[in-house]
Amino acid sequence: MEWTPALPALASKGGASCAALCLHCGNPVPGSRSDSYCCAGCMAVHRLLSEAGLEGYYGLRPTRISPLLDYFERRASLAWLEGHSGAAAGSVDLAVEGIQCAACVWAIEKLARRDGLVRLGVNSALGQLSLRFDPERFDLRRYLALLADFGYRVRPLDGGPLRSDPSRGLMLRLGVCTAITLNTMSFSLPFYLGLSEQGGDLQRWLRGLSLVLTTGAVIYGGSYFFGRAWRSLRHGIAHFDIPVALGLLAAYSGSLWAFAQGRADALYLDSVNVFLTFMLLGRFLQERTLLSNRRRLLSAEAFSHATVTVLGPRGGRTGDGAPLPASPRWGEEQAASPRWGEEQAAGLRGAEALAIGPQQAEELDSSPLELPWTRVDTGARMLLQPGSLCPVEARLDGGDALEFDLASLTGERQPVAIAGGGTVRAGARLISSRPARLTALAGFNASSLAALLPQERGQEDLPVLWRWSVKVYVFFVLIAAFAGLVWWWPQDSGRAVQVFISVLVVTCPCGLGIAVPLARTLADQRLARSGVSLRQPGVLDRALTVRQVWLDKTGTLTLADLELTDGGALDRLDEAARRALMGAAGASRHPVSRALYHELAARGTPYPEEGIAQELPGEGVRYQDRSGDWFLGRSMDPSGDAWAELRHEGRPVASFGLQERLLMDAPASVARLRAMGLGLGLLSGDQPARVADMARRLGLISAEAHASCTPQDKAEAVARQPSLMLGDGLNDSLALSGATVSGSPAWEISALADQSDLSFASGSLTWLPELFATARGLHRALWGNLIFAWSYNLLLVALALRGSFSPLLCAVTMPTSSLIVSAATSRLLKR
Amino acid sequence: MNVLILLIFISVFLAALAVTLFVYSVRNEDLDHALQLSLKPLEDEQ
Repeated sequence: MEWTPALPALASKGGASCAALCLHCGNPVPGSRSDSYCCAGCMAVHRLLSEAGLEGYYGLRPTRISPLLDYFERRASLAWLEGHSGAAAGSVDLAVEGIQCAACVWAIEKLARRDGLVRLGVNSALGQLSLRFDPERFDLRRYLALLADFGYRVRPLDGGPLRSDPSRGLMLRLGVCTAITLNTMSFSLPFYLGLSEQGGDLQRWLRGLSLVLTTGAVIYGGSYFFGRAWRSLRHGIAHFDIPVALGLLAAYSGSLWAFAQGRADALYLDSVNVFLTFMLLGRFLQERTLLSNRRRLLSAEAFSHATVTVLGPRGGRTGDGAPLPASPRWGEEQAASPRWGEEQAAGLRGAEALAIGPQQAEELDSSPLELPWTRVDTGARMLLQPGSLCPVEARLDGGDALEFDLASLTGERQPVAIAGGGTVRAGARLISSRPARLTALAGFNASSLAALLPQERGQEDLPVLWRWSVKVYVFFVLIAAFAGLVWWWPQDSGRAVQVFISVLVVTCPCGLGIAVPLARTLADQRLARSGVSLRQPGVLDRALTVRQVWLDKTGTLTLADLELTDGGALDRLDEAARRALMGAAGASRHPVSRALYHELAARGTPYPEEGIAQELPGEGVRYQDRSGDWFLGRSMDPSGDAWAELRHEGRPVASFGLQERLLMDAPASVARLRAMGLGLGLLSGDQPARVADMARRLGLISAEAHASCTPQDKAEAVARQPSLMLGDGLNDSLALSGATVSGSPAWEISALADQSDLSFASGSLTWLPELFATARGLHRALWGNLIFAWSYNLLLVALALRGSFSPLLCAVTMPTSSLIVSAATSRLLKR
Repeated sequence: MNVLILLIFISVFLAALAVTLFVYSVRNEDLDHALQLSLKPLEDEQ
């Protein structure tokens, strides 16, 4: 019997307590929406899940997941499937983006099992999907198109899945050493409770077993530190592993000597194990954090789209003289549609499907190539896909006019119609539904776009605090231990060795070894929960120096899509008008058309196949079907308001008001940032009236709002003091590269996002004060731990040098101190 | 006293068994597929 959990979201649709929460993601529904969803993306996926019989998803997901605000922007091409050897052989490894919880894994598995997949592995920790199947029986293209419909973006993993996981070896060492530690502690307990050291089988067996187990732990677990310490010494670097290895070696060899001598006062076997286990735990946490960051960077790299299609004769050469690679095909994924809902899928894909027409097929025959922007040269013939950026100044070929949006350059939505033969600026985004044929007027290096792209930051070392602590710590430990040895040697050589060992044991950096990696792991997790991914090292340390926060307006403080002021206007349309509106809106990438199209697609309106759409750049879209002539007129006025009117045979049928949607939590987040003592400001290329209105809604004063800024203006403002800059357009890139900390939305698929210090999930700004709170919490935790560790060590070193230190005291203080610093760190960084 | 020594060896044996199972689990990458494994009880009965 199939387990089918209830669908609480649907069941409670009319419940008062859940009325304000999105049925799909559980986030609050903005007051401006008339339905029960926070965005069109959530509405679309909720409907698809219900229609596919996968309501069980809602029984497994957490109370709240990330909203699908960028759902319509994140569909990736499946062009790579063409000629993919793994797809033909029935073995594919993929990077998958969008897995949030067990419910996602459940849905991905369910969809695969329905189509008869042989074996599926979902590595949610690394965001990887392994598919093993019979190519004759399993339609891979359809399955991946289905995943895209449900909001998961996949790309092939070049070079196979990420298997070089250094934390796996550490995990094995940690597991083995933990087991040994627990046993040796148990074996030591009878002695601390009074078991005689004077003989007997039990005493000999307990001591003997402890020594054997500890030897195994030191060889297996300790070899990790010995090898790294040895490499540090060979390179003359004072690394943290040196005192760790030295302490381990001294404590173990001293205990071996004490065992041979029968001296229980210098037997530290249980302490050796506790120390080794804690050190491995700290190192394991550190490696997992690094691996997690690496996975995010690899994933971002896999989904980067800074390429353009260049047309050329078969066997030709690129602008830089390199031979043309094999021709990839793209766009065929639109032909695939799921079994359970072809109409629905078509409804979601309408405008994208229009991009593949006879004209494009003709172009495909002339060997199109996907090339990086940097390889475009003067005279290159390009085929620009709808929605893509033009990487260089170019001439629009052909006689038809097409519409481009300059938002990436100016920061405001600014659709302009360009006639055939006209010049298209570098960075302009094609918003007409047809592909544009262009001839490059300049190479990429001479393009204004190249000057705007940020330069790569150099890799930074560990924080100054950490480097300083390690160096001082190494010298302190060595000086204290040898001082004790030299002091006691003339009086009692045996006592001198015992003091030497006890100093090294007591100064073992247990607290620091665990607390620092733990603090960084918790900080990383806290930010990840807020929707932030750190892409560069040292971001949290640099955030501490930030005094000013600069925000771009469009795309950063507002959502990508315009929002209907009256969502009910669509619901009031009759079936014929709704289909016609779908056909007309789907034929254009104008911001007004896209907003209408997404809302209709999310409501399940099928894309009409029989009509004919004709875009009239600068005016609207004419649409003809069996019911007559329709016209969708659309406009955006300087105040930022937009409208659209649908006419049938010249008579108005409906009108739609649209507006930019400010992130719901933006004013509260801005207030929280101000309370933290940070300066705030808007830097926008938009018109003064719109920027002033946005500043008012955010709670900023007029002096903090800067309108009509050029990229250079923004860069100069950011350079005046240590600043954090958030932006999403190419006009922000200079400022981003000059900022102390820079951030871009995660959905921004360009070289811009690749270079930012951090990426954030769109739809919320609560992560921004959270970033500063986390940076400050981490700073407090690190300093607190350092002060505690120094105080603790100075006190116990004094005891050890006096000769008053005992294995029992060590067995108690070592784990206690580690637990104290770990608990303090957790308290500071966990909410 | 002999019983105590016997118990010690039993405890060491159990610890060794636990370590063996742990190593087996890590080598099978169970932790990487933890979410998928957690859904096993919900799979359809074949």
